Amino acid sequence: MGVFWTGLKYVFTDFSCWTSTHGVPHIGMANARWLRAFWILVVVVSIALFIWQFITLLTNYLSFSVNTETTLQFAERTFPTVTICHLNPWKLSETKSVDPDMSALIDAYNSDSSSAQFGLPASLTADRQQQASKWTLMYSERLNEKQYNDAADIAYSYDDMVVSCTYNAKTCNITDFNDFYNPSYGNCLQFNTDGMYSSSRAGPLYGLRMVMRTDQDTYLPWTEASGVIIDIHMQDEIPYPDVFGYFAPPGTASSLGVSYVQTTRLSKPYGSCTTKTKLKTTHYTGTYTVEACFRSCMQEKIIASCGCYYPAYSHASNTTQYVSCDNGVQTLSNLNCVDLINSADSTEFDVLTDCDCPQPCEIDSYGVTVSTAQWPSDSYVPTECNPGGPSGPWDASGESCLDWYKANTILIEIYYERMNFQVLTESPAYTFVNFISDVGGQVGLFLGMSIISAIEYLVLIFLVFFYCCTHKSRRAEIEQLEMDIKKAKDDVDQVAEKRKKHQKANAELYEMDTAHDIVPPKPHSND
Amino acid sequence: MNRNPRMSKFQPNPRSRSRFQDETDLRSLRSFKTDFSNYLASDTNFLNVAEIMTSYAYGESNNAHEKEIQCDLLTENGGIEIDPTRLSYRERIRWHLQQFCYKTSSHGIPMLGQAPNSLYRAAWVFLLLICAIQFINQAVAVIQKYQKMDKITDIQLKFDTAPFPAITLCNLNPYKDSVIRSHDSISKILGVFKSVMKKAGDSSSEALEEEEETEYDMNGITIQAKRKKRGAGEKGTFEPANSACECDEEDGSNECEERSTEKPSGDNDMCICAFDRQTNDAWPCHRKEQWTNTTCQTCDEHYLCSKKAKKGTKRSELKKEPCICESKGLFCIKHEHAAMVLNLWEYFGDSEDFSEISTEEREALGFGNMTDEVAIVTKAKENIIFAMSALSEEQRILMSQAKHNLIHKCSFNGKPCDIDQDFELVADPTFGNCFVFNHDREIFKSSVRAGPQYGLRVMLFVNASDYLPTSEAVGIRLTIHDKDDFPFPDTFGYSAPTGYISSFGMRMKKMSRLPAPYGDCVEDGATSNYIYKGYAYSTEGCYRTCFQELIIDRCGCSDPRFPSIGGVQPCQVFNKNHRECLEKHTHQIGEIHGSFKCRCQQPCNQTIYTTSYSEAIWPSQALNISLGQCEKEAEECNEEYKENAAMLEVFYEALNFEVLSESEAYGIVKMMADFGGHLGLWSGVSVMTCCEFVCLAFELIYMAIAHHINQQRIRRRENAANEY
Repeated sequence: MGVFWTGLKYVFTDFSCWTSTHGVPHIGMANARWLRAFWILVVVVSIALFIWQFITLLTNYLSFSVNTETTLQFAERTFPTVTICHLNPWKLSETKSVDPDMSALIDAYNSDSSSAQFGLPASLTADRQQQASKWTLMYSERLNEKQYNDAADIAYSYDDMVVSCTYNAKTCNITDFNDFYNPSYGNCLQFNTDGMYSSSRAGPLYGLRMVMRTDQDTYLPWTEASGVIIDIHMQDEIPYPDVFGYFAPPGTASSLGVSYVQTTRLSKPYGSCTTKTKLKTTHYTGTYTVEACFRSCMQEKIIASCGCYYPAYSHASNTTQYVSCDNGVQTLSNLNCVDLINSADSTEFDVLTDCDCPQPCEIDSYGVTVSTAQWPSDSYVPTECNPGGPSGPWDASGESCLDWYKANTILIEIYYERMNFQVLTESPAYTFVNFISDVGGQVGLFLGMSIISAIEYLVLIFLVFFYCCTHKSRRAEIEQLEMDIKKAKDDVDQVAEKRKKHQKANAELYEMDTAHDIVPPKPHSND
Repeated sequence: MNRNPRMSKFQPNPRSRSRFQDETDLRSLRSFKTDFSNYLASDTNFLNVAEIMTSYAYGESNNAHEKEIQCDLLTENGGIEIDPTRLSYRERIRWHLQQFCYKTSSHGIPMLGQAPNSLYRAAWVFLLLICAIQFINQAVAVIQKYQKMDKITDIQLKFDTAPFPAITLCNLNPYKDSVIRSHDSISKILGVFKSVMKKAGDSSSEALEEEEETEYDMNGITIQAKRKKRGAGEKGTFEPANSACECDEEDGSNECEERSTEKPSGDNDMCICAFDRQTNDAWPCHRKEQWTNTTCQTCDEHYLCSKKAKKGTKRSELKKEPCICESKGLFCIKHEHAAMVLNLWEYFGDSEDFSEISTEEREALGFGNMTDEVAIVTKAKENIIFAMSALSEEQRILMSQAKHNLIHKCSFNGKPCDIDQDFELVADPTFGNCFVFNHDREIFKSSVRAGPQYGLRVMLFVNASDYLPTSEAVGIRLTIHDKDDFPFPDTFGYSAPTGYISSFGMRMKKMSRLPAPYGDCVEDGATSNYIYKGYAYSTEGCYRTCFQELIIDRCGCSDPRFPSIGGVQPCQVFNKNHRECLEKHTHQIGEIHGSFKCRCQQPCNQTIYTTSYSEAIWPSQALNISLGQCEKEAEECNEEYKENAAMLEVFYEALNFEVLSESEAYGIVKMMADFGGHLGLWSGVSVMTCCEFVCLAFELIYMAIAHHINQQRIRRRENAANEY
């Protein structure tokens, strides 16, 4: 065993002579014990410092931070899709004559007594109005079917809403608009759904200008505000004007300035956004948005808890598997069940924790600035108010045409505020290449190592392994080598003794020379 | 390469055993021992290591013979190997430097040591200098980049339950008109305000009259025409006015006789007359009950109206004008229903107010020779703020609108909220009583989803009939702020009109800034002299604190628009010196260079709410609901609420919020990494290479000191020998 460890020591000593790592050769070549200890200490301290720096760099890399780059671009842009809805979803008299349940709801609301059928409280309070609004949402699907299938005129069409329309200083008409059904606001008008129109200049003259009617005589008795609501969004998005819309009151010219912001984010491990652009669930198929994901998730919950689907949210068209919550005598209990889930204070369902709805990584959003002015001015006379013009609802109400216009019409302008738009792009702040570069710098600073030095250590491992495999067969050879070295050492000792004799003789010679140099004593003088 | 010759020249072949017997073998053995003792740790190491390396990796060196010759050059006198202790001082230093060249791990210096001639040495010195210069340049750039202390602003979009901010609601009218006039200083200010406004209105008409008089003196014929026109205009315009009257009930005509300069003692003595400002005539006069508000179809330029137009009038000329009519409908005057009715005793009785106020007090109010109505209103508002600061806070709160009078309906997250618990009173100098929703910092309120139905919806009743004459606008002031921040409604608020439902969609941004040495921001709770106690630091509060300190230092009293410091009394409204000093220093501070005296930085952590606003008419004509406490019919209630009430919605437009946080761009770890990279690139130097240089320096210093001591000893022996 002594021979084995001696041979192993020789291997390591030889490695220290030829490695390119800094510090290790000094440990091997040190000719004093204190010098070797010093170099060992230096190497250990350097390794400790490197480990500390490496941990810091690794922590920085694993945090996956991002940089946000903000640029301003100037280009011709497609005009956004504009969805305009009346704040009152259904006409009063037409709805009353078409649907008996809706007629019963209106009669129950107009009377001052409580209604057990609809859950209306006795006093005329805000709760009564809220309950009536919820019933309107519940009945929205059947009213929509009657609007489109039975051709009943209960919702607001283009002719009911629009007086005049221009885009880019040219006249637009009914062919430029699409009908869009929204449960909260009935029939809405959508402009530029296919992206045919684009803007190359900013300002109200190059956008959409519309004069719209809001006939308050046709309002339901629980509609509390008058005007229209406007949602501005991308072409492939489904609008939610009840969440993202902007109000416009009658008697005003409402100017909506639009600016475009494009945002690109990084997905995991840098962020928590999702890269999917389509949402396909049982009840919703279309472009992915957070609001659509929420509503689809809540619809699933409503079906699981109440046993029926909520008509105000999108649902599967398979009517045999799922039934509507609007089904006769059970509608009141279904409404309470749905309200329990829809309520924000509900303890049964938390939409943030129970729904997996992350943000999309690509977001195109429009910022809207709203400003208003009086419409029409005192000196302006609309075309319909000219003498000899067509008759209108002002004839029936007995007021003048200008007064009716002030109370019931809106001028709406939608345009790009400026043609440049902001692009926000995220990029990784600390990539793997940066990490490798920094680690290489630290290694070079503290240890003087490189990849070649790492290969040297691999060679050392190989040498040790090879020596362990063959040390038995070379035992006799090593012993013979040691005997030869011992013999040579004895010869060296003899030569050393000879050298000492020579040195001794030289020393005696130096002493004789010194004796000759002694100054003789001074002679005594005879007085 | 510099290590191979040592190993290859001593390879122990079987033939080499016989060579130990010769003299040449002994010489080789001496060189072997010398080199061995200097390069390796053990006497027996070298032979074994050479044997192993020969068997495993290396073949026989081609230059073995040459290396032996080179080794012989290092010996002296042909028979003795190099012993460093026997060398001279200079040669010993050269030997050490040569050994360092062989051993160092720095790149390039071994090449310098092994150069065969001076041309090679010059080339390597040149290369080493270039690399050293390049390294120094890069190192300086790296250090400068670190010392700039750059920051990176990281914009993250978080999707979480955003906390709902605090909402502060104020009436645009600070105090009730029916209550505030009982205070003496307020009645003085309002009296002077009324006279100044009347004077400003009269001065414009006096200029016209002077012009007419001039023409009267110049031309005789034109005089007649002008005079005739003026006679035609003598009627002027009619308006209703309250007056003290004497009614004779015995007569059947129901007419009353006015006493314009007297103040009525009660309702029995008061009636409404048709008043003409030009002629100061008030006729006809009837009791208040006999006048009714209605609409007329036609009115002339003198504001005389008739309920029904004449036959044959064009339909386009028909209008619906608001007017007030006598009960029989024979006499009508155009009159906006919401407008205030003139009081004749105030109109004719201005001289009474003049005698109550001294000249110095009038000058202190600061109206001077103002003729612009907007400026007069602004100055009157300021005077009211100063006058109310003399009262205690309890008195001011009682004079302003109470909580339940202002807030009628409230819902949050679709649920009704408790008005008593959820709203807290905050007294503001500009707006009187303000009420803060979500004021409690322990209770966490949040919107679970975006949209108006998940935010705050509140109906507010402002009671416009009790407004002060200095309140120009009717509506609500709304401020969205963090719970820890003071609202500052006069600076950061939004106004919302009555008769509309105002929709405020907000987005939240969180800012996190770096303090010194990277940036210049104030840590949480860093300032101790903040005048808004219990609130977090903000830039606006810092400026107000600085202004207040400056005013107190120079004027001896505090500005009543800001909280006081150390119990200093506020500046008095009728003190001329106080007002002039405050006016002067406020202008100085407001100049361009004035704000530099205040050093107000941004807070390190800040929450910002950006707001977008849209409105719709509220209530709609079809809304058949009795809102609040109205007990009249539906149409009248709708009309009253259009004039006095506002509906507000405050909600999150989107639940995601931006977090802007600053972090250091170039830390010390990255600087050391770049430094090490440059060291390795230009010279292959590391920390241990620096240790090598340190060892060499110590060794040379030791040798120099030893040599110096030895020289001194030799010199001392020579001196001793000379003396002897």
